[in-house]
Amino acid sequence: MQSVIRALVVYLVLLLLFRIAGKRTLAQVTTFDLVLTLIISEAIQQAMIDDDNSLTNGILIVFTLVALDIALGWLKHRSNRLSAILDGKPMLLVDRGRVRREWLDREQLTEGDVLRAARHEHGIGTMDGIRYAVLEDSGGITVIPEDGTRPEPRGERRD
Amino acid sequence: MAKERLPDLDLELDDAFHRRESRVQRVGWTVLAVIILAALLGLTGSGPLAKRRVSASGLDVHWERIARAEARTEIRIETQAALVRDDTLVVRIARPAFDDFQAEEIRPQPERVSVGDAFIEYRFGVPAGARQTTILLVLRPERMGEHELNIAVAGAPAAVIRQFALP
Repeated sequence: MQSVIRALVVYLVLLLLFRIAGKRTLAQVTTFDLVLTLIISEAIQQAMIDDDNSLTNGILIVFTLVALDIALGWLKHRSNRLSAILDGKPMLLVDRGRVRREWLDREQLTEGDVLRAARHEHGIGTMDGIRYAVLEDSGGITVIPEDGTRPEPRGERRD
Repeated sequence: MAKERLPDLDLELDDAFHRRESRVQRVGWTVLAVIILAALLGLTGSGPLAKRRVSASGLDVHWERIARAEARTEIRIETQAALVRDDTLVVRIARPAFDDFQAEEIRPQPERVSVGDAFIEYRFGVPAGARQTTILLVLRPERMGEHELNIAVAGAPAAVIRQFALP
């Protein structure tokens, strides 16, 4: 029972923490972010397993975490409101070529971040070439060029 | 700006939601900062504000007000020579409260341990002429919540120590 409760608490605390931390926290996976992820997992691992290194305990914790993820996924699929609360909503950063400074500042983003995504996705070098830029709920920035062409389907980017 | 749809982008804008989200995040950051500050000060254990000390008639007990369940915590008992009888120092800790702790280590090793219904008694050999004896109890609270330990050294009033074990 302890293992399930510990896994549940850890899952909810991490969910809350990364929701509070903002969209961009781990979206920009630099080398340091990768190291940070490993350190976080190492730090929390001991609290979850306690001093029980048995296979049963390990499997039980993994089952609990995966089941929670499935359950939340199911709930989010059924409720747009819950989905928005847990994952957020896409945020418009550039609106028809006009930079929405307030929203960049709120997410601690700069024009440089938007331009980096524009260069990477479309080879666009200036803000004038961007019609829309959207900060997705996953933390990635999607850029739609001024000529209206849609980005090529290349999967979601994580800048 | 409330929910809005752009003419050529199938995306619902909800600036009001983002403003609320931003406010909640900033409150969250403040809470994180407060928790970290509290931890640095010792309000989650092992820090200056967690330390407690009680002194009476040649007996000094040092402990941490906040501990963590299943993590080590130390109680240091310092006694003056006046409390040593026949080269022996007797420390009694009341049960059943002490049963909530796992005794990881006792330094120095007691010469004898007696377990009664209402107490556990440790007898330590003390060299003649020793001016002060320090006994270190390294304990591990086995459950979270408030614990109260009654520690008595023969010849001195009992010290009552309270400790809250965080999960």
